[in-house]
Amino acid sequence: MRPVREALRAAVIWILVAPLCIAAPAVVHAQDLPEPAIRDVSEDAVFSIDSPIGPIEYLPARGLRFGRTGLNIGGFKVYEFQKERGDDWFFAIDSINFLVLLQPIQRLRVFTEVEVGDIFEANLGTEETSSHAFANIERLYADFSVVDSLNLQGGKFQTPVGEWNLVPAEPFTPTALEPVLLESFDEHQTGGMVHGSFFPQSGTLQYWAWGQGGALDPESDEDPTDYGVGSRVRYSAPHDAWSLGTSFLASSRSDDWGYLAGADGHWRCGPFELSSEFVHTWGARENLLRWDLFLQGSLEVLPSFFLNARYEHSSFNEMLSNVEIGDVGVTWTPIPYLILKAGYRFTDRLNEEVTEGFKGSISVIF
Amino acid sequence: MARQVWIPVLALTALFASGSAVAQERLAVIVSVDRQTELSRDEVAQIFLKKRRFWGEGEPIIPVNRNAASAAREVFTRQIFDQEARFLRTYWNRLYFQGILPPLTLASDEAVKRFVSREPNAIGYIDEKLVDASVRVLFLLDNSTASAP
Repeated sequence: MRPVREALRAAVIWILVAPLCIAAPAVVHAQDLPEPAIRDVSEDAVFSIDSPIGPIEYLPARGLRFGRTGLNIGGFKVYEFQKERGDDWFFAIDSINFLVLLQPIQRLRVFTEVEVGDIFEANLGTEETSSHAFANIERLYADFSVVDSLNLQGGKFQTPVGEWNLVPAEPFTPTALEPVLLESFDEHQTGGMVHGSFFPQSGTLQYWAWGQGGALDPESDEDPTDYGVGSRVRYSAPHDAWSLGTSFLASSRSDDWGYLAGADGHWRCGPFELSSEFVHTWGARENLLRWDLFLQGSLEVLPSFFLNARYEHSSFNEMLSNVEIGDVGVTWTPIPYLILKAGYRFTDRLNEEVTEGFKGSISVIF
Repeated sequence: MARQVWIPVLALTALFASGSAVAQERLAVIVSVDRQTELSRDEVAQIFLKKRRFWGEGEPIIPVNRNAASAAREVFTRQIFDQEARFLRTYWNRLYFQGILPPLTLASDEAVKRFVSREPNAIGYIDEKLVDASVRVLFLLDNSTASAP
């Protein structure tokens, strides 16, 4: 275990010291480089035909728009390579996710994410293949905006705890491997939510407050809670230079209540970004007492090419058994709708939530 | 034959020269003449990032971008968002996952002016030279600073 601890210590030092080490050379380097092209090519249509409902056009990474109907259909597709310690290499066509948006008027959005998952998997060691394709409604909700400070949402949505879980899908996350911290609460909620934004001091103050009833969800997460209420508040500085957020969740399963309190933040300076999330859970339910913390650094060393490192600590149960986890990896976005990632995870203790090994992915946003 | 070679070369030179010229012109951030609201640069940034989505009286704001490859868009993005390309790409990817699309784009300054003049809830930006009585200027942008009209 000693080499693992050494590696973890090195990862933490890298996260904390990297900005100091790279700041000066990065500034000099930036002056030498040509001005980056501030263009998102995906906003221009590559295909367009006129129709009675208006132009039907396709925008890469932004979907197919159906004229004035307000209907937009897009999504993303993920291929994965994985090798856990002691196992063979695996290749998988992990999922195709369709994002369907209907916005007939400015104030109303009806949105769904439909996932077709586990399409194909191959064990490259034994050459066995399998396919257990299924379709699942990941999210389905209607959102009505009264004003910026008051929006009403009903349906199935991502649980607004921390930053990562708001957008946890592979193409949109900074690293190939997701934090173990996400295991400490349900990914989705089904119920009603009120959310909105205020704009103090040119920054943005957002709030979310929701109530959920798991029985309403026709395709729930594994072992979901029955009922719950939660809230989140987040302040982000102008131009999203930094942000701070805090979350609270109370939920019941079989009449046993559990609680979650969390905090998160991020800070961005030039090519470097630092983010952190903390979650503490406790309550009457079995195995609920735990706390998790991660600290993640991301550095853009070449245009659209990032080095990532994350240190994570988890303490489980009354025994407070500790797990230290380190993730290192790279992310490359050669074109706006193609994301390539590779990462390696090491840990000082394996359990059902934590494995060690390599994971790579190729994601296409369409 | 030599002349045939030079014609496209000169045409391309003229094209790049005109692009540079446009990039150095001042941009006017415009709204309908009926709208008397004043907005700061940070507020305009919030609008074009779709964080701020309603005018003060509760009507939905309709931000209009120039197409992504235009020089006007490049100047506007650099001046208003003060961000690198990767931030905006990541930002819009995250919003795409949440079912929120970027502002609509129009192919010319004339199209933006026409749209804004006819749509009281719209906001856009055009070359300052094209400004006329059909639209109201909120403020001007150039390659270094923004200035009040």
